[in-house]
Amino acid sequence: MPRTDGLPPGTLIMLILRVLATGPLHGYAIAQRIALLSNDELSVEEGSLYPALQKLLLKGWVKAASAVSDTGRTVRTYRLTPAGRKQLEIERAEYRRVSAAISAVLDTP
Amino acid sequence: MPNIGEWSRRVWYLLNRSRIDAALGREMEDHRALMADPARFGNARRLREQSHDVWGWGWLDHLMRDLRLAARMLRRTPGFTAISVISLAVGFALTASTVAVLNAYVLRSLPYDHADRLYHVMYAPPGPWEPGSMEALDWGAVSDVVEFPITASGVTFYLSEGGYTQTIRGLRTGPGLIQGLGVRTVAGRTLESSDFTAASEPVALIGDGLWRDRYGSDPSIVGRQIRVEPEGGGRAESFQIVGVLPPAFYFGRDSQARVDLLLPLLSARRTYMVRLRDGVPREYAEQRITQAARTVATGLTPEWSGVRLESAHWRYVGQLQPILVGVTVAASLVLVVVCANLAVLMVLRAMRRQKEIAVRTALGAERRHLARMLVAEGVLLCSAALTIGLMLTRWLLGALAPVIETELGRSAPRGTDAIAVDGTVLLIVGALGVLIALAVPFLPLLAPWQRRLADDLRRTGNASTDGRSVRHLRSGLIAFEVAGTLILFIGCGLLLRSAAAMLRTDLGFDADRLVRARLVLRAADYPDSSGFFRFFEQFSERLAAVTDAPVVFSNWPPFFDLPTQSIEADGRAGQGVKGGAIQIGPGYFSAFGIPLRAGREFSRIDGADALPVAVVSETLARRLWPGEPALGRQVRSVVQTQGGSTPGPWRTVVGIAADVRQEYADPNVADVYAPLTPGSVGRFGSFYVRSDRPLASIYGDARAVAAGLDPHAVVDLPRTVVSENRQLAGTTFLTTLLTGFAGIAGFLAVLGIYGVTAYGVQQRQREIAIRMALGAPARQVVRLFLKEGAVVLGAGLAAGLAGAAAAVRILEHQLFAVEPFDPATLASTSALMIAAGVSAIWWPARRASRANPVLSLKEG
Repeated sequence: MPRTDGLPPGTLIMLILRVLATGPLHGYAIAQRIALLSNDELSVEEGSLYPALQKLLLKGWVKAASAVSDTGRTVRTYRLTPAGRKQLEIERAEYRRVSAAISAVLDTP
Repeated sequence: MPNIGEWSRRVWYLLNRSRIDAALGREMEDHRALMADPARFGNARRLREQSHDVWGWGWLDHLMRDLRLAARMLRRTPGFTAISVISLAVGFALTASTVAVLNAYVLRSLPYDHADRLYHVMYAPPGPWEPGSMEALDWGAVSDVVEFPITASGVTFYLSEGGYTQTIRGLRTGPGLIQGLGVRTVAGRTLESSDFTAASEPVALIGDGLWRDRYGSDPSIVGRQIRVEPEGGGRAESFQIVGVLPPAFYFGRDSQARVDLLLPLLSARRTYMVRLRDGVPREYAEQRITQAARTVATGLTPEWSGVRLESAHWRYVGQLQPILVGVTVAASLVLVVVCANLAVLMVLRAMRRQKEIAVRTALGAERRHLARMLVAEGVLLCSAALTIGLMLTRWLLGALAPVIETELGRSAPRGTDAIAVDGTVLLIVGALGVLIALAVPFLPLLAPWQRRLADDLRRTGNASTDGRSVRHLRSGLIAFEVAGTLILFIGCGLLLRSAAAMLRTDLGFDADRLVRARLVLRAADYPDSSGFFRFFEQFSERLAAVTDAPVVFSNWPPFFDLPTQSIEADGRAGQGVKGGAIQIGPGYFSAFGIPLRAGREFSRIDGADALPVAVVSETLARRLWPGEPALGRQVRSVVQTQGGSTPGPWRTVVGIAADVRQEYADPNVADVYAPLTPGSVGRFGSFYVRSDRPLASIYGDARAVAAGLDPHAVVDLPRTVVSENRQLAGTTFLTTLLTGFAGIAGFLAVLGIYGVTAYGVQQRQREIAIRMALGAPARQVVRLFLKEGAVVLGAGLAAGLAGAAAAVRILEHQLFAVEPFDPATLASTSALMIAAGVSAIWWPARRASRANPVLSLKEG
């Protein structure tokens, strides 16, 4: 699992899936979006996105496409696949279940 | 659960790896360039590695890296690599050849359906007579045990269509044979149950050989009528061919026993083979069949042991088992010696690389990394050796398979081509290779590697002392090699002495250039047996004139034990001596080179109506008439048959011949010779002639002479009498084989000892130089090494002698005139081993003692 500086393992995958749910993005944009959505709370070692993206590609939850940007550079964008959407829901539900259980334990007097 | 999609994506990654990795690198660089604080990106190299590892091919990279490194290391020591690969290849080739032979004879079943359920039926053990009326056995009553009774009766026919006559082999079978053996025709249909009734039209299946040779594989053979005459006389029969048998089909003790015509059997015959039902144990089947036999048997003796079943496969290869086991053990020993040698070489090599290993350990390599490095080398060596070894095996088997079949005495059940490298052989040898590749490299690791890094790095040059455990390991391996080699030497020595003893043994007759051939006459052409007798007489006269050498007939071939009969003397009935009896034609003794001690041999007058005469062997004369002359006495032989004993006529002894051994260990050389008479010959005759000429020319002359007398006479291909000496042939074959094995093992052992000594010498260069500089003579230096080497040699010898005690039991039956623990052989082979070992130690030690001590110290 990539080192995520404080993120529980596996959540990076979930975050990326969530970010891509709104539309295809390239790597830098994904990092920015995560920072934006979390109000900079989640500081991710940005390079660790890439092993995670490879895992998503391997599992078929994400597809990559190369395009040429306006500046003439080749840019690879990642888009969510239907299987990826399903996985996102599964992970979301699992996360909610686990955190509810943890809250229940922590908050019981 | 990884699914298909994931696997295919993985494979796609593997195939496009470099492109994908490069693109990812560029992508990460671009990302980094966009960042305000590039330091927060992370270590690009590590991230790229992690990205690569996600796809699951990390292990492959490690493997490739290990192998490439191992290849580089091996290339640096070409001598070691070459010796290891070649010796391993030879070891593999020997093992693979042996496994191929074992596979062809023992592992693969006979080429019939469910061959493991085929059994040969023995109504009585070999020797006593079979109970009568066994053909009436009701197989239906045991049909819950016996799936198919396979009844077959061979018959020879003459086929005369289209100009020339040839003999063909027919097989009359019951319905059980077709299904029981799984006979499938390649054209037409098989015999059906309707064909087995007397009223149906006679049909037959034609064999592939006959179809090809005589009818040119004509497809229209199906439906044709074929007309044949049975050899024993009788009406010609006509059959309609309804199908063609497959090419490899044979039935009989030999895979050469081809079947030209397969016919329905319409009369009751004894059944000698059955296929049992699945799951029926043999003993139970024996019981049931014995019961069924009892109800119909006639002439049962009280000691009748019942019906026995013998596995058909075992019956075929059972006799070969001792030889096969012996050869397997020998090949295994060679492989063991080869592996021990390889291990020794690897240990030596590891010692030389101490510095390199010390550095690796300092850089963080653990023992398992070193293990992986050594195993990678082992894998490379073994793969190269396996490839070369298998190629060598294919070439060896291609050349030697027919020789092997001849030497073993019977062909492989599925034909000569079955002795080849097939799937099973590849599997077994491959597994062995994997085992060796994994196990042998581990031996150097048995030595402790926990060394102090500083010590190792501080040492200059290659001089260093090994730990005691390493030295013990080396000595142990060498002793192992010596032991294995000694065992092979001993086996070889014993066989050599047996072979020499056999060659020295005077069998009593001279088999050199003696040729034997069989004659068969048609019963229909001769009214009675005196006609046969006249034919044989005229044949031998005419052929003798053509070949310019005497031609004699006999009713029993040499090298086969004579049938034992009771021989009585001088009217004393009932007090017979056991001896062999044989009938011979005139001139037999001089033709065979058997000296006559007294009297005369048979001539033409003794044949027909003359007074019955006999010639006895020396031993028989001594036994019947101790101390008295035998000439003029009366003797007769009593033949035991099922019905009782039939005494022959009283004969007058007219000659005494020297003893003749039929086999090397022939226990009974008391023989009586009687002349062939018109009443005692049948339509088969064997004649012998001593000639230098090639067999083909003798064959041609014999056929011409026979045809001149009777155009229907058939002469079989002549064979040399010497080729029928199976005992000598078997022993010489094993001897040659073992000599080859022992030679290879000996060479390797000597090489191993030399290598270890040379290494030890190099290690102790300083010590030797100091000793010599201080005045020690060269002799002393050499003696130092000899003393140490002697201990190892001694241990190896002791282990070898102990191992030989077990191993020679396998050879026991092959030995002649020499005990398994023959002291002379043990002593001479041990001496040979000692001499070889000592010279292997002496040579490098002497070279060391000659080196200039000052120079060695300077190099230090």
